[in-house]
Parts: sequence; C-alpha cells; structure tokens
Amino acid sequence: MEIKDLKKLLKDSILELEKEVPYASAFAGSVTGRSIRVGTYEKSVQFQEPSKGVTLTAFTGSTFMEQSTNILTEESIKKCAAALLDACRKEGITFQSNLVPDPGKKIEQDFQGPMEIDPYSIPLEELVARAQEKSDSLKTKSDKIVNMMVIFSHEQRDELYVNRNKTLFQKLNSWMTITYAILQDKGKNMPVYSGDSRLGGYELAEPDPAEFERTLQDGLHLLHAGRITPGTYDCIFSPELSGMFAHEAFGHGTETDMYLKERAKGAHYLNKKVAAKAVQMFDNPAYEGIAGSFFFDHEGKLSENTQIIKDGILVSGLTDLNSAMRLKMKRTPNGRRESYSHKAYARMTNTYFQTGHDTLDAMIKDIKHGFLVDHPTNGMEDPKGWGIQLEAMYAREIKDGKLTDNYFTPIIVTGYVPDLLNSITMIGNELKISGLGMCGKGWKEWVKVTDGGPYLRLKARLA
Amino acid sequence: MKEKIISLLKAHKEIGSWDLTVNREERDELYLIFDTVEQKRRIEEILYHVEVLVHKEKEGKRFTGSARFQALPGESEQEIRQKIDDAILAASLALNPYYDYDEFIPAKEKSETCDPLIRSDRARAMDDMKEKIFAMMKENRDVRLASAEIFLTLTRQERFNSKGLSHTSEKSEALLEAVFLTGTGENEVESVLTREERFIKNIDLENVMQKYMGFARDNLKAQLPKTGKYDVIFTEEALDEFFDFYTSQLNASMKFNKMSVFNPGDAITHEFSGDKLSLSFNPRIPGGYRSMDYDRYGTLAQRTQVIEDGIVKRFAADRKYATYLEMPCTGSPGNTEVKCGTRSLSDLETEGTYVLSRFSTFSPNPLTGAFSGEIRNGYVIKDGKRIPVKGGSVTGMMKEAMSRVFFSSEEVIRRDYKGPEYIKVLQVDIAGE
Repeated sequence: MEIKDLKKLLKDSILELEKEVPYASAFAGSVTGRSIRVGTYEKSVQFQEPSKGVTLTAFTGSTFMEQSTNILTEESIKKCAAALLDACRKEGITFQSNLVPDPGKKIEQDFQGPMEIDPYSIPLEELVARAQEKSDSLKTKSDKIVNMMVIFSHEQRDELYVNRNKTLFQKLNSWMTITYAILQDKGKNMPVYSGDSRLGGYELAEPDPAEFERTLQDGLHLLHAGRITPGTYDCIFSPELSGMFAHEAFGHGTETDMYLKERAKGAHYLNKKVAAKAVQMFDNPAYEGIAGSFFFDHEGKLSENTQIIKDGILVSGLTDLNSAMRLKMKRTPNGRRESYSHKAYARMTNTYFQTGHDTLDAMIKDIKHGFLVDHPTNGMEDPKGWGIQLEAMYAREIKDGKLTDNYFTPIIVTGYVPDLLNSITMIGNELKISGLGMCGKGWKEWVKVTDGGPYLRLKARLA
Repeated sequence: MKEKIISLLKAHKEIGSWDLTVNREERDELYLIFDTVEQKRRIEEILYHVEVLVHKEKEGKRFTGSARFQALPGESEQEIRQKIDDAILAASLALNPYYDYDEFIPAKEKSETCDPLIRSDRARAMDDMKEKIFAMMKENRDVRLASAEIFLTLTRQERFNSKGLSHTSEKSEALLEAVFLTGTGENEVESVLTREERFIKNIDLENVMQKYMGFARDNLKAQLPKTGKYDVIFTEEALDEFFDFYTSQLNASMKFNKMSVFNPGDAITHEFSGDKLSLSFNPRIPGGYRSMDYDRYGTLAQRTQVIEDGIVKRFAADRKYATYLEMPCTGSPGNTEVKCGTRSLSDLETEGTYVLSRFSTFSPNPLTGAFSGEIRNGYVIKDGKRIPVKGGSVTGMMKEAMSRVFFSSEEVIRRDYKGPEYIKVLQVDIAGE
C-alpha cells in the first residue's frame, strides 16, 4: 500500500483510539532513492535502503505511547492499533485538562516539493555515464589526485500525518552531488570534497566547477600545511563554518526538549542578551528549495520561519509537541523523526545567521594577525555548558590586512558560546547555505539539516 | 516471502550469484525525563536484503557488478521481480573487476551475539535496567537523572546465498543514554553517558553510572587545562575510535582505492620510543559489537592480525578486495583487538599527566590520522592528586602519537574494542588556558 493511500485507514485508527485516550495521531513515511558513485577505481549503483512504515501515537494523559510496523496491510495496522491501546490501558489512561496536546486547526492538504526533472525519468545508463565523465574530467585537474569520486544521490520522501483535525501529505524530492578527491603527495593523504544538496531533481546534477577548483587548490596547499600554534586569534569564519557555528552554538541549545530535561542553559536566557547586537539567527523549514525544508513537521505543524536570536537577544526556542505542551510554549515546526520507526524530538531544520553589510575584503583589511577558517568537517554542541567544538580543514593566515598562502591543518575551534557570539564585530553581506549536513541528537537520530550564514569576523581559540 | 524471493533469484539467468538476508527486528524503547516516563515505543520490522552479482566478460576480461535492494513485507511477486530487474541493470552498469562469494564452509561454532534475557524477556530486562537506574539515583541524592533512554533490540537473522550458505543467527543490542545533573542554578553541570553493547552485562550499569555521576561531580570544580605539550592518558570514550586511522588504513578497500599509505612490512610510524602496537581484527569476541559468523561475502569469520610490534603484517581483505588485489582473503574486519602493555594505570599516572575520559568527539581522520577533541571530562595529576579538568582541546596526528605511546596492562571490552583500558601518549598538544 502506498503512503498516500493510508489516509482513511489511519484516520479511522486514530479516531478509534481517541475513544479511550485523550489524543492520538499517526505518521507514515517512506524513503526511496538511488546512489551512483563513480571513482577512479570502482563504481557502484545502489538503491537506498527503503524505509516504509507507520507509527501510531497515543497520549495516555501523561505518557506518549507509540507502536510502529512496516507491514502496511489493513489487518496489520489494526493489530498495531489494538496493541497500542492495550499498552495504554496497562500504562493507565487519565484525562488531565491541563495536559492535552493541541491537534491544531482543521486542514486537509497535499503538498509537492519542487522538482523539474524526475531522476527516474533519466535512463540509469545516462546517470552513470555523466558521473563517469565528471570523474574522468575532474581527475585531470591535478596529478596529485589519486582517486576522484563523483557521487549522485537522489531521494524521494512521502510523508503522511493524521490526527483528528489534520490530514497532511507531502512528497519531497532531493538531489545531492558530491565531488570527493583524494590528494596524495610524499606518503601524505588529503581528502577534499565539495557539493550540495537541495530539494529538486536531476536539474541539480551539475557540480559547481568553481567550487571544486577552490576546494582542490585548498587541498593542494593542505598537503604541505603545518600545525597551528594554539591560541586565541582574530578570525574570519567562512559562511560554511558560520553555519556550523549557528547550528552548534544556539541551534541545539534552543531545542526545547532539552529545556524540559533541564539540559539547556538557554532556558534561563530567553529574552536576554546572548550575542552581539547585530546578530540575527533563524531556523526556517519554509526556506524554498533548501534540503532541510518541508511543508509540515512529523507532528503535523505547518512550516514557518522562527527567529531564534533577534538583535543579540535569545527570543525563541524550537519546539516539538511534547515540550511545547508541557512548557506552555509556542509550537514551532521542529518535531522531527529520523524515520517512521524513530521517536520525534525537537530538531533543527535550516539554521542560519542573517547577513550584515560587510565585505570579506573589509574584514581582512584591518586584521594585523589572524586566520580565515574554512571547510568545516564536524561539530559538537554542549547546550548545558555552552562549550563548543568546531572542526575545520584549515586556517589560512592573515597578516597585515592580507591573506597569505600559509595554511594550517586540521583546526579545532573551542570556546564558550556567548564569548564567541559577543565577539562578532563584522557580518558579511552574502548568505550561503550548505546542504550536505546531517544532524544527530547527541549521537543518534539522524535528520537532514542545512546551516549557513555570511562571513563572520570574531575572536576564537584555535588549536 | 523468502521462498518467493529465492525462487525468483534462482530462476533469473542474468544473476551470477545472490545473497538474501532476512532480518526480523523487535525493539522496545523507554524514555525517561527525571523520574517520569515520557514515552514508550515498540517497533516491529521485517526487512529482506538482497544482493545480486552480475558477471560479464569483455575482451577476454571478467567483470562483476553488484547491486543491493530491499524488499518489504507484502510486496507482490511482480514488485519483487521489478526490483530484481532494476538491480541487475544497476549491477551491469557498475562493472568492476571480477570477484564472487566464498564457497560455503559450515561454522563449527557460533559467535555469541545475543543476550539471553533480551531474547527471552525484553520487558523484564527493561524493567530491571529502569529499577537499577532509579535505585542508583536514590543512593546518590546530590546527582539528578535529567533523562534516560533505553533501547533493547532483538534481531533474528536468516541468511542464504547461491554458494550454499544457509545460516541463522540472533543479535541483541542494549543501548543506554543517561544524563546526570549536579550543582545548582547557573553552576549546574551535566554528564552524558552513552553505551551500546550486544549484552546488557557489558554495559556494567551500576559501575558505569557511578563513574558518570562522578564525572558530573568533577565538572562542578573542573578547571580549563593549560596550553602546551603534555603527556595524556586516553581512556573511556576515547578508546572507541582511537585506532580508527589504522583500522581504516589497513582495510584492503582503502588500498585498492589508493587511500592507504601503508604496505605490508612498513613500520606504522617513523620511530618508537614506547610500546609497539599489535592490532588484530577479531569477529569472535563474545558480545563484541562486530562479532559475526559470516561476513557479507559468505566468508567464515576469523581473527586476523594486521599489525605486529609496530609492523604492518597484512591488510584485512574481504573476498572482493582480496580478489582485486590478489592477496589472501581474511574476511571482513571484526572487532578491534589491541595487545595490552606491561604498565598499570598507577605506573602511567605520573606527575603532570592528563587523564582524559570524554571528548565532545574524538575521531581520528581515517585518511590523514589527524585527531582532535574538545575535552568534556578528565583530570591532571598535580602534587599526586587528581585535579578535574574540562574544556580546551587535544590535537595531534596518529602516526606521531604511535611513536611515543604506552599501553596499560589493564584490559577493557567496550562495544567493538578489546584492549588496553588506558593509552598514554607523550607530548600531546593541549589548547586551554
């Protein structure tokens, strides 16, 4: 049975459940896709592991209970609902007037994400040939490239959310192109990659040649790069690193399930200053065409933009259904699951710093000694302690207002989040959003996110 | 359904070889916020994983293409037939050098991969863990449990392939995440415990909780470490990925793709002033997260030593890459097993040494060996006392670290690692105060 065809069955199931429990809902999702990977020595065409199933949710008055299955027959879903009701009865059902999930306004709507060319309309031979041609041509860019991989990956997500007031269906297609080169010189490896992921189809297949060229040149420098002397420096974060900074600094720290667990210091700083006055930060799943976008979250909240930091003041958290209900906070469209078989948590979507008015040249111009830090590779949050870790491929030295060719690798940025945010003195005038990221809740529960920002000038501890 | 899939695979003339893995997974999840149950979940899934190999000959050379797909319960014969046809096309378009699955050899013994209680009574296992957690919290009133997540999973697996493999196995997983808070107001701090093991007993619940509640208490008074080069003992979570550079570099797939800088006979570092690393892959460790009976190519799992006394002995080569590189097939890598040293922790804990247990992340780059991590928990030995530290970071290169390393005599098993519980590296860069 297709996900879209489950509307009536799921609606009937949750209405049946609500005869005994205060609230019930259902989420069904399927993910399909293909990945074409062509390297210098190997190639593969793989079908993405499909995830297709349904989760029924019931609220007992104090506890959320869920039952998931990937057997999508009427009999199986009815059995699933019966098992869930049985579990609720065992847990104990109460009707507390102060603790009832809001089912939202009545709406029944289907949504379709952007896509110009359906990847399935392109013969597989053509996709493989195009990746092969790209791999071969990019390999000629440098004799230091020992393996040049081009990856095309596309995915289709069908998602259905049903509660007593809502029946929402969305179809989201996304495309990802990655170019990944292994550079080697004198027994030393240096991997470099570039690419993007967006909502859409085959029209997004062409890798950005300028982006690859920039990455390659950086990689060639990094083959001979040294280690930085640890210390606190005047820094410029690239838009990609600014994005990771936004995500780790005040993205995770504003996910309000963390407030509920008293794990986020941000809970005590709502409506207080946490950053320099010029800093504006958003989480926006309604951002058109971006890979972390959607029309409704996995708990049925329609997409809209949420401003997290306004003029340096922390103004909003990102909520899921449970934390919004218990904390009496506004629901934002951030209740997300890794798949139908995973729990919904408060999660980020597209998180970014807004642009300012400064150019990169102006930022570099008055730095006596500092670094441009670029190519983020990893990051980790610490919402309770407001520590931060950002890892980047390199820092490029700035001396007397000019970029030098002195590169240092790898780089780790650590510090106290408010210190970093308050040290921002210049904000670039161009926004760039990176689409390759995935985000875990701690160390699991992976969802697609993007992050971005402009160049930022600030002080940071590098090692 | 499996019979239907097998008969369709057998009947297809273009398929050279095939493999079918049927996973029946049952998972129970419990979510606690403080002492209340936030959510309970039960998941039941059946997945049919299929791989087909297509062999072709062109200009006297043999090639193999592979493609994997998954069938879902309830799919019709027509849908499965279509998926097989799609997989054959995909495999035919991605031809690589020839290889094939291993001929079936019956396993004399099965690897121990299933916790008996998770197999027989997950509800009781879940209750036991929850009650132990609550009991521990009652005994430690200065620490609060902010949240906990317990997942218990049982997977019953059946495997079949065209070389005669017909094998059943059971795997369990016990996952615990617990967050402890201590202190008050602005000074409240947390410690996050995450463990994922095949056997509940390997989590060692009471001891590990005691340790992580201790980390929370330490964080109340922890200082930023000093900037400079210091001797560092890595332990606890840092062990999980400590050897990733070598385990990746000595995988034959990396060699074939020109990503490995090593050859058999190479020293793993330029000079040694400490212990010499001996590292094996062992897929037979009871309860090891990467323990198995057969790998994906149908090769019987066996222990393989890849580094002996600091010298590369061989690559871990599964059937595919062993064929490509014309080297002996060792099977896919299993758990990482490292030989212990002769010094105890007390020998290693010299004045000025940092002992670091937890990092935000600590993942040596598999291609460059660069490692870095923000320090979440640790202590420094000062005047013979353990002074808690947190914040700041360590950075380095694994090849340099291995030239001045000492392994403890104490051994630990955690997830897919068996080896020294403490690893001391001399002169590591720390960035802090």
